[in-house]
Amino acid sequence: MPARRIFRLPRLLAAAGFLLLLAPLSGRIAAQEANAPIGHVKTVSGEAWVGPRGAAPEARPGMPVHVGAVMRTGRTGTLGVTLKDNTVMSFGPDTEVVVDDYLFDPGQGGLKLAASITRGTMNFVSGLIAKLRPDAQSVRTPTGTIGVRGTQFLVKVDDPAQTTE
Amino acid sequence: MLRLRALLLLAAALWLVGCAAPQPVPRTYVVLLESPDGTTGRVVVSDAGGSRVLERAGQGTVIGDARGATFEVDDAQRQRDFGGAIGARPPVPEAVVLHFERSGVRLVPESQRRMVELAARIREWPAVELLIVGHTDTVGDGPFNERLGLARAQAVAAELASRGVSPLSLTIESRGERELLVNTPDETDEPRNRRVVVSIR
Repeated sequence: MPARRIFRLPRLLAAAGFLLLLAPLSGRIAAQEANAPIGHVKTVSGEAWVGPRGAAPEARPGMPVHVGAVMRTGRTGTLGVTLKDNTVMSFGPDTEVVVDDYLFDPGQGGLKLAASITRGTMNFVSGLIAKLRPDAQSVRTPTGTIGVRGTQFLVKVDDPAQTTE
Repeated sequence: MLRLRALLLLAAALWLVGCAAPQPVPRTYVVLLESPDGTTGRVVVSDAGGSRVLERAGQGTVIGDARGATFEVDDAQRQRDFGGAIGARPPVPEAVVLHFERSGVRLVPESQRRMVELAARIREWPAVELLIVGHTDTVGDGPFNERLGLARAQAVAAELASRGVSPLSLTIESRGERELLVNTPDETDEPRNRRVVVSIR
């Protein structure tokens, strides 16, 4: 069997080559995971944007959401997103929310969701992260932090710029 | 004269009380709700007023208020302040289980009927992501059941597709006989283990 001989002869070389081949590949896989979406836009009405601050395109259903992306709605807009762990977040008009930190890797014990809302309104339904690790979810507001222990809640943050008092 | 002055003072005092009476609308606040699964969890608010727990549906608290009081938020206020966010809420992810006849890819009649309604619901689901996982009972060997589990999952995916389901993403997997719902010895005919779980997100 000539095919078998090929494998037997330069085994060391083949192993080295395999490692060389693997090295850049594993790097690429890691990079892909870092860039992998953490969820998707599901509902949009009116003006809404999702993406990097200052360069966020208009949101549409199916658009991926990444860690650090700014989710924003205009005066008449609403937006709903669902994350990989089944966390469901939706926003009323004039809202701005960022998912600052997100880990969902139950096999490795990586479980975390940290979001911040700087203005507007949000309906939050916790998902598997809260079920698996009850203290791993938090939502920051300008005046305090909400620790989420597996539930649904509403939060409203007034835009300081629009305060008339 | 004295009585008149007293009356005027009283009137002034009442007027002041009347002015103060309307509760100021809370600026930044959180309201606990019942979860879609019918349970109610808790939220813990930490701010200048320390830390407090909400554990009843409808209970709210101002965030950043040193007094740290809680209050009830009625439906009218909820709708006024949060109508947009509530209306935009995507469907909450769910999992549906379908069952199979012995050692094949045919659904039991009950699950076949369910398929119609399931496909209709998934078609309405915005930007739907599907995970379809096939399982078997312990009749037959491991490798056979890996293939059978996959075939079951593929059969469900094909039937959903034929009913007009076109998901944003579709993942098909088999667990064979590795994740039994009901633990049995090997070579045991167990209808509850012959299943496909469709996770809809």
